[in-house]
Amino acid sequence: MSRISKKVIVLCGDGFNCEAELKRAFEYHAGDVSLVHISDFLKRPSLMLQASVLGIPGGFSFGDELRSGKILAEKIRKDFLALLPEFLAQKSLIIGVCNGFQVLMQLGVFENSQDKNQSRRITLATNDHGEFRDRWVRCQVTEAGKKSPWLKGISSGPLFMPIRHKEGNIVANSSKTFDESSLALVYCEDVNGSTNKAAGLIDQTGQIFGLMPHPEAALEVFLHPVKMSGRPNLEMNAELNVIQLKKIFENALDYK
Amino acid sequence: MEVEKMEKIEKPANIAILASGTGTNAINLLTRQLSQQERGEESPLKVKIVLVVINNLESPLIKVMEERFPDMGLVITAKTISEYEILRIFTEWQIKWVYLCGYMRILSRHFLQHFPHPELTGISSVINIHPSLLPKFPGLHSYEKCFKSEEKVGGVTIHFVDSGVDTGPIIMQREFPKKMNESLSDFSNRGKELEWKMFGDIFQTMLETGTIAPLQRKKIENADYQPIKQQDGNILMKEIIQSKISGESLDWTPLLLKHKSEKKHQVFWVRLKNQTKHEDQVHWDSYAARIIDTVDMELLVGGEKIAKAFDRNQVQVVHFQRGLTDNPANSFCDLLSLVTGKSFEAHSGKLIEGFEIINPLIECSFESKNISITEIFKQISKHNYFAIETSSFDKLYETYALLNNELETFQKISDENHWALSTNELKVIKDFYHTPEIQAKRRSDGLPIDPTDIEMEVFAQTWSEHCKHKIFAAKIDYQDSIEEFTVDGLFSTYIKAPTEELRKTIPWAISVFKDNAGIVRFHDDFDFCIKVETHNSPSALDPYGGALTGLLGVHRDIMGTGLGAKPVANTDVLLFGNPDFEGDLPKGLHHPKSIFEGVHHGIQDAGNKSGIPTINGAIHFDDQYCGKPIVYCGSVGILPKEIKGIPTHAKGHRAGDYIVMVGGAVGLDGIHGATSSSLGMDEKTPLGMVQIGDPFTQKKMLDFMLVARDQLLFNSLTDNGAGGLSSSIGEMAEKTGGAKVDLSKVPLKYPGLRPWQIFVSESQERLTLSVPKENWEALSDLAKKYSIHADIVGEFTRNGFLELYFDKDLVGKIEMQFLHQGLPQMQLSAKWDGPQALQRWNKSEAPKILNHHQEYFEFLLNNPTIASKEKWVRQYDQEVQSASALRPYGGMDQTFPNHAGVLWPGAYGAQGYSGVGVASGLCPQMSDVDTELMALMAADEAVRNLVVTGINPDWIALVDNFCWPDPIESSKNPDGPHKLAQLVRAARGIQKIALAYRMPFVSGKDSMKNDFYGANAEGKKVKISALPTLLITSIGKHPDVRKIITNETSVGSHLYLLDSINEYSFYFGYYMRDQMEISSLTQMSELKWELKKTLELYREFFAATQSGVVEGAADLSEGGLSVALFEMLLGSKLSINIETIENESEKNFLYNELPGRILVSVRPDKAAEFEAHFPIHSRRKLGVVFDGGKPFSLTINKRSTINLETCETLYRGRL
Repeated sequence: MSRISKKVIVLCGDGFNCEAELKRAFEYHAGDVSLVHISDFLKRPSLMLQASVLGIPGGFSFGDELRSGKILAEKIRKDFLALLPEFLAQKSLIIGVCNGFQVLMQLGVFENSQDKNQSRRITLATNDHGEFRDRWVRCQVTEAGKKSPWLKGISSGPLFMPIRHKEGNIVANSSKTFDESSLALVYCEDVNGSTNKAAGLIDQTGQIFGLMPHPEAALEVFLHPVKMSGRPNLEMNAELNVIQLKKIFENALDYK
Repeated sequence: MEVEKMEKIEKPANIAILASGTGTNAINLLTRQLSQQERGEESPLKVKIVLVVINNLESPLIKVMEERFPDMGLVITAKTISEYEILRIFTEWQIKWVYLCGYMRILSRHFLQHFPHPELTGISSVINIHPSLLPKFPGLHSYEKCFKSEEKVGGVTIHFVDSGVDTGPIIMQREFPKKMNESLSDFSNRGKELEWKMFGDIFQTMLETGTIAPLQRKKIENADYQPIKQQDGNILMKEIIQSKISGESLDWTPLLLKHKSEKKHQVFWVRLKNQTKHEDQVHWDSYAARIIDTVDMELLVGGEKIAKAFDRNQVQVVHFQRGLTDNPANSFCDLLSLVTGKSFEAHSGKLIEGFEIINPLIECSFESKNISITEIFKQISKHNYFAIETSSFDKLYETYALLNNELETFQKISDENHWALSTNELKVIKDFYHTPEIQAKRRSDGLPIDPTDIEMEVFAQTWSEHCKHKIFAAKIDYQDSIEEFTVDGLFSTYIKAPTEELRKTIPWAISVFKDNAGIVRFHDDFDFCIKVETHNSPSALDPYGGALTGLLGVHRDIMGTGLGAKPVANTDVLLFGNPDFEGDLPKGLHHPKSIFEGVHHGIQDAGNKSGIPTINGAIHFDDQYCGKPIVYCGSVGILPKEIKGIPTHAKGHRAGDYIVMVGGAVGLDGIHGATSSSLGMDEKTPLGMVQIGDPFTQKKMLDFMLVARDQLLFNSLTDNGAGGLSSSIGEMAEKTGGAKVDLSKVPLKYPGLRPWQIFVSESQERLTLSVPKENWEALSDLAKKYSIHADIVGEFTRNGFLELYFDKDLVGKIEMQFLHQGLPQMQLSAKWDGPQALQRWNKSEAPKILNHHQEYFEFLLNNPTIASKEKWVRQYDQEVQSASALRPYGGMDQTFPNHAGVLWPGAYGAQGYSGVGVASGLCPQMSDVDTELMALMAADEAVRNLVVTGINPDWIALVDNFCWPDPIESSKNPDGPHKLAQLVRAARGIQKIALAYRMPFVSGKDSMKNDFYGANAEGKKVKISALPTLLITSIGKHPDVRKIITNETSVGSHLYLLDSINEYSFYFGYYMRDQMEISSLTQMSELKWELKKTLELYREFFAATQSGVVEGAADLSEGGLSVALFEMLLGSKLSINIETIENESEKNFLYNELPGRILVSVRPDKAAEFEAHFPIHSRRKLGVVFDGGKPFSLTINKRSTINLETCETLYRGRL
């Protein structure tokens, strides 16, 4: 299938606010992206099956009350989970960034347990410093992550992109239950207390990728916090960084 | 239901020890407690030391504590810890008694108010030991003073602390004789033995009896303070229990979302909607997994279960005061209806293990020390607890017997109703209603000849200072020692006229001063709009809610601009009292630090939850802002130039269009916000001004509005802010010539609102749209999809009247012409007596004398206004929407401040790489010199902050926001004419700079009563007036976001100072005034500054940036060159040796805060080309940047080297 005809759906509404940038991330690679309001999705959930990629953007769904992502997850739970097996079977992909990741987490897709009745064991809790923080940080793809279609072929050098969240601290209800095979992306330094410095997870199929940092917000060189002003930046090459991050979305459109 | 019997175990009252020195006395007390505890159960402690605070990092007590009392709570801090922080720590630990053990600082009355003696009024529960027979030898070195004196005996005193130095009521006093020929150390050692014994005895008494009293009671009659109490929920509860309980409504069920690892848990009181009997029980347990996150939370249902989980802890239960917007509860209801399929109502609160300070204006608190947890939940859960007190009414309006009454009576009615109308204005209304034609018309309409309540409310809103800017429209006679003139309207003369003049040659200023925001055309396909508002009074009362609604409000101004713009950035400039303010705050004021934190969280929620990045701002501290903080909330919006061929910058509503209100519903929130902000603030300011915003609803409304706009479903809109519907409909109806409104169609949060309340309510999250009738159905469907309200509340007309109905009944009718043109122009006089040193309301400390540059640098960089705000700003999303090409902090570690925010419109679908920059400038600290110079400097700073990023000075527009102390003379405001003259001069200043720099003002706002009137603890009147404060916000077009310039520099780069003024013969500035040789305010006010030259410099600098020879650049402002150099070296941690001008001016050169200057970093290979851009007298090479390893440093004239690493620690750790 040619890349042009790959259909991408990015959800919007109900307090999401990064849909435009997530949409643009796919459009750099000529993806056919449509924004679908949650209300429209609930009216016709089967829309989801027409997409090769489903993007759940960042934001503050339902004001992030109670637990970020919780209420929206309950809103789409029934329809989403009913269609998910078929969606994955047709080799379609899902990415959830920040609030989107929190929604996926609440839906339980990262519970790598065969027993569906097992209660949830992993979640995104409040950062250990207790605050919302916006900061560009260095991340690294793990060996497990490289097996995911999303992160295939991405260099192991650090990726530089912003985190912008208050609840991004990945915790398991006991240290034994943290499944390292789901660990796809890690921070190079401890930024929020997350177990194993976890920044992003993949599900068992590798097709669902959830992460707290925002690669879609770092796809232009001039968004980088260091302005080059015509001199070489020794520490990190901004152009290269953009190429690596863009590859995440390119990978999704090239999959199958 | 059986009442659970819980035995109440008397818990010992908590004691904290404050120590600075060796801590001998502290060890004494702790040892006694330990041995008492070891004696066991038979003598339970009545008091208990739970915490030791040592404010000295080198105290030997620290080691002793760790070794001997490892279980004791211990806080070790620097000496500089503020009282406020200590208070917060004590509050957290629920401290009831305090022992000072060699604590070296005086406690303020404000602090002591929080520690009242449990039984005795007028004295504190803070106990000190002093080594002399007080009142002899107070203060330091008492043994030594006594030893050297003629006294025959030494002594020790234990006393309660008051705000004097060792003056409080005495608890115990003992003496000991001097011995012949003994040494000072022998003498003091014997004193210390006595201290040990006495302190031990007193403490022993307290351990056994739980309290201690002073020797003599009569001394304390003239109590010097009143204790502050937390809003006592129990009193409120009593009221409610006593009120009649009627109906059979269902009680509220409390649900607790218990966090496994946190000390704060959410509580919701819920019940099924429209249900009066227990016929439909909810099986909560089966829903638990979908209501909470089961990984780290637990759901507890019902008061008994909750009580059981916390029965060993001291807890506090807090919930919102009734009637406030409760966002968590609204979201929880959404969740419950998703999960259960049923409809719920809810109220939210929190259960805190421990204790927190609450704001009684918005929160209500219960403590388990007063009442068992079960009982707390039982009482709060009573069905009528959260009921809003509205009563049914039989009359649709009240009338005011205006025509037969004296104006004085009418004035009294106006004051009682917070209309803020002057006698003159009331007379105009009276005369108007008096005319026979009007009376005849009113009779034929079936209205009383006297005005109805809703009519008076509409006048009050429309004619308020907030909406009509009466002072800026007034005719002012101005006088100073040189000149006299009359200004017919500051706004039209000094702001509008120059802008109109400039617009003849500046085509890109599309819409100025007539819409909710100014519009500029900085892109071929998109326009940008900008608006800055203030929310000072609401932020003084409830800092969180005030700032939240302030920023959400300015977002709505942007939405209400043209055909509806999308807010894309925030700019927040905040001015508070010093965060470590110590001293007596008048009753009713919050501590500046708590205002700062509350405002911060409000801005955080408003910006982040709306998905709008904060790209620019400033935080300024001065104790003159203790009375009213200044909270500037600004926003930038984008709108496509046209939609389907229709230009978007103009509004197109016509008679016959529906008036549609969209967004949230209306409650009693914020009634009289517009009129109250036109009054000064005092203890009695109405609480209706306190509101909480709902960013989630507003976000849905924004999403909806943009889609409806792109489908052209409405042809005009405006926001509902101050004055609510009365303002929005009133304003829009001016264009068509009338409106007919049915207030019964407005959706309400709860029943019982009177028509006038509905019309003026300032409930948030609403827009008023004008919808052509044929579009109504489509618009209504769209609103449903976005789950927001949309209701037709009336129709625009052209009959010249604003007609207000409640269903079929006419409740008010006002002639539009009179409403909008009838307000008489104010006549005022202003007199300026030259520069005048500011009268401060509180005593300031004597300045610290500094000796060399290192100390100067550290002093400046440790000033809270100059110090880094990064820690706070990082909590704002600065880049959501991915358009922020320049954010508040830059560099690899994002630690150095940027000077402006720059947006890349490409993120919103625009073509190309041009950008839009926003920056600000203010310098209220110069207002005492001359407000005209202050205004020039503020504007220049705002402009320069854009220019240094590479913005073309010929593409810059400005926004003015005046926040002034009351400039109208009255008995309580005798210096009104001076402050009005300052206003005239400031306004003239911005006219000058607009014309000289050729930059139009496109929007502006003013807030005129930034004064607080109150009393200190002694009952003495206190007035706190804000500094005359002018914020200039600048917006400019950046030619290319790929070429933005920041503070960056690198090894080998040359640093230059570009200077258009070159005045170093005296100190010009504020921050070092105490340190430098005194230059008079007059000398500063006479600064020679040719604005044209400065503009030329900026233009040339722009040319240099375009030719690619500039590596980094910074503006010079507070602290002058010193701070700019530090901030430039901070990102790369590099060093430099600089050469300044001749020795005697070295300090002026480094620390002068002159305007019109830029620090530039240039790569060596571009230096010649760079120099060629500037004439020799306007550029000065400072030195070459090199890598000097650690620490990075600055060397001045090869003589003094400043360690910048220690500066960095202060700079980044200050706030």
